[in-house]
Amino acid sequence: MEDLKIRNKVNFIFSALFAFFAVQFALNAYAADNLEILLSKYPAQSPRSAAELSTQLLNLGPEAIAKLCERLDPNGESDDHAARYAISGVAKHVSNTNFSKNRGTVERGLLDAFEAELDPEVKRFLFEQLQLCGGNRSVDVLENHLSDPVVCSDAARALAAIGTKKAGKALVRALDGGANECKGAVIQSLEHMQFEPAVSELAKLASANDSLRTQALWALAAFGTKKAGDAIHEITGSIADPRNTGLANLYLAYAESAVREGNTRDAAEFAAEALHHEAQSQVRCAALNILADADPETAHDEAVIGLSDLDPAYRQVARSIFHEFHRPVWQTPEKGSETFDAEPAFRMLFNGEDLTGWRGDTDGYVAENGVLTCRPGGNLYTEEEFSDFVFRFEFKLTPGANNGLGIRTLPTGNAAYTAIELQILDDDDEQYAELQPYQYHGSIYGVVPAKRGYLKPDGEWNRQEVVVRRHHITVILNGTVIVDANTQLASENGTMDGRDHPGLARTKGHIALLGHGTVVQFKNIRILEL
Amino acid sequence: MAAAFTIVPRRALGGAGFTAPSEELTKAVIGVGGMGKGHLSYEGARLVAVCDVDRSHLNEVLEATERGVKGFHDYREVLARPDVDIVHIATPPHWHGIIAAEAAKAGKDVWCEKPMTRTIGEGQKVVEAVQRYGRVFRLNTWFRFRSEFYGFGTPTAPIKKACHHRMFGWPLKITIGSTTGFNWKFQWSGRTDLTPQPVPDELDYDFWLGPAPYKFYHPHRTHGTFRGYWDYDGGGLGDMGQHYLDPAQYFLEKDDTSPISVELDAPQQHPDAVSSFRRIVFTYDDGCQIVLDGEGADQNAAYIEGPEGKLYPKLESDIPNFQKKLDELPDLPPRITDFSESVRTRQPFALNETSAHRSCTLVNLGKIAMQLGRNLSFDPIQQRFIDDEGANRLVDPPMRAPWKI
Repeated sequence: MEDLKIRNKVNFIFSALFAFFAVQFALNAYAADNLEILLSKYPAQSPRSAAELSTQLLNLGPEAIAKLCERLDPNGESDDHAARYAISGVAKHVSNTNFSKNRGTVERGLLDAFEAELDPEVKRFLFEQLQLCGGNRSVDVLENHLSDPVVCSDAARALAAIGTKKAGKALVRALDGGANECKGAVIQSLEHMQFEPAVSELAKLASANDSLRTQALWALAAFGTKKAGDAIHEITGSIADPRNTGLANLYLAYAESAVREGNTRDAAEFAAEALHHEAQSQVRCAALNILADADPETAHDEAVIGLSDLDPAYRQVARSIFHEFHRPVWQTPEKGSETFDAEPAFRMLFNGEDLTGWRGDTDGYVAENGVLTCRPGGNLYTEEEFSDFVFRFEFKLTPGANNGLGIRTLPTGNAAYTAIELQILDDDDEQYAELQPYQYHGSIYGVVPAKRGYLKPDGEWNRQEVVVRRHHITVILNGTVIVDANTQLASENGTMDGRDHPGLARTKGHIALLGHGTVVQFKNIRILEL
Repeated sequence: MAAAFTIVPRRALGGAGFTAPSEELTKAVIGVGGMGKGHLSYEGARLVAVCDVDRSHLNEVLEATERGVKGFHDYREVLARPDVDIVHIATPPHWHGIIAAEAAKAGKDVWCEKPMTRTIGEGQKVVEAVQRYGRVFRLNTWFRFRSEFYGFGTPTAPIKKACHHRMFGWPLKITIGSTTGFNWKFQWSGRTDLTPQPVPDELDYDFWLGPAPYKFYHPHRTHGTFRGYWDYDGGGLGDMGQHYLDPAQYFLEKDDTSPISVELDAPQQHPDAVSSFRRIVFTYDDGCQIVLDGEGADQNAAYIEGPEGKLYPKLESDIPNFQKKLDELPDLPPRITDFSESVRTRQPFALNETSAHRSCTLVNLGKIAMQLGRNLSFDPIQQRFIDDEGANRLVDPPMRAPWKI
């Protein structure tokens, strides 16, 4: 009796096991069939069917995805197309934040594939999928490959894309020991991720490891923290050779990162070093631009000096910074009339009501309701004298209008020669069709021609800004730079009109409106002395 | 404090305001296997150097140019030369961003082939480098300021004028496809059956790949057919996209912004090889739309459709007396369309880094939608996707060390 019971039990167990395996076999076969059927549908013909196929694949579970990985042929010799479409399709599908709950299924499937020996090409393909949809679950397998010179670069990139603290820590660990060739990729990934805890390790590498020093320094420059800045300073000293563009750019890269971090003190310090020691145009430009973000007041002072710099690129940067600082706030027009809010540092020279502050042909000009009209008249001079300044005003031309802006003038005389005259002219009028280039609107009369084409039609108000600093004059009409010249250089081999212009040497004088017999109107006349 | 000593080329000092200085500008062309050859003869600067990672391409060009032009293998040596003012970049797109940014940091002005950059992230970095380092940049597309606009049959100036003066109303929808004069060139598709081939002796394949992931060599990946692979470009969309989309962006006054949504209809894309799309629609915040009609489906589509009128190729319109009305409206102010003038005056070119980055972003938005196979929402200020981690990982993917931007 006991024997029979035991035998029955054993039979039962064997039957149960048999049934279990039979069912498993059937299920696997069913799954395998389903997988084959699914594979035959790739590539999907539309976004919707691609999503459907991915959903079906997800339902088959990570085992199915791992099975697909087995089909990958590194040399493209068997037809693994469908597998590639399926694997990449499902990785893309779960990379959508809305489907991220399914990411685990895909990651597990891909990671399981690594249990087998895989060809590097296959590994790279899988890392690429993890780069797109991987998370913390994938970090360990990726970390294991950081010392494999064949695929460490791809593994490091996937970790950088995953971007979590766990990924960062794995990368930092890989900096210790092992071959240099992989460390370069690891350093670059830490830089890409901006993984701040890596700074001390990177600093150690930069000090100790000759072959990785440059890479480690540049990686440090991507971090804008005080710690990174201190490390850079310690390792490089300071900028010794002004022509060492590489080092200057390293400092600028750090300063840029520091601005981003809000570490304005270090940013300003590094930017200032680059500004004062470097001779190359682009480095000075970048230094001034970064300084403008880190320390606007200092940058403004440098910009004022920069307005007359010999380098046109630097001058342009200086002007932009200056304009940012002293930006007029233009109101949107109501019924065609525009007003503006006076820039705080600018001083109105014309009070809008009368000719206080002006002398000369006061009968030829009339002030009314904010507008100063040349009736026509002759020359009207400011009572004050100015040296270096930014002068802003608006003017409206009538057909054939001809006037002029005198700069650093004497109280009398022909300002075009005894001082400097910036032409005010209705360029498109027929009578002016055959003039010399230096006679058109905005030109430094007789000396530097202005760019043409930026005047508004007659009867509309134009905005003009004139920057006068030492020998440099810039004229900006309706937002476009139409003159940007150093008058000394422009006249060193003689002036364009062939005449003497002693006024170019003057360093101080009045500002004048030089009427030449036509009606022109002015308003919002203001100045900022430099 | 002592003023910094400045090394400024004599030609930059501007002896007489805007008249041509006596010293000419110089240029180097990087990438001379294909489009780069055309750059050799572009006016405005004298060629002093050429560079290519394929020795046979380099030698072919050196033999055909004047003596005195130097040949280089490594673009970094070109950027280090003080006698180069302007750098022309005609490599495949996966290199554009790195070389453009480094050129700016080396003090060079940049004339870059389209598409400007392979990714949105690189485009942002190029804009930053060009602007921070005080350089001027232009892209090698030109339809927004000259030439006949492909099958449309007229230049773009009258189109811009009409849109600016709201002759069609606002917002506008622009349709770009075979029925409105534009061919999407899907022949630039990649192959999915590549097998490893030996690298030719004259090609430095590792350098050619640069920042792109390592994949085994096959000639179809490189030179004349690189456009078929996501790693380097984006098929017909990558090739022609910026030419077609830049003027559209200009008409819609969107040079400083991007769409908020991208809708896609396309077959599933292979992970490596690019194929085609049927339809991509970009929608902006204000309702303006750009439709990329890959199949030529919209047989009767107007090129521009607005609430108050339509515009068809050859400047035909359903607005009565369209041409006469257009002629009566004032023209727009001029911009700089001669790159050497931009270089000398430091004023931005008509198609500069900002506008080019934004029109390239249209191309890259389309590419990301295609690769992922779904619609996307985009934040035009942050320049990142909304609620789409995968798409954001494609904005700024890590580059293969040691190359980085």
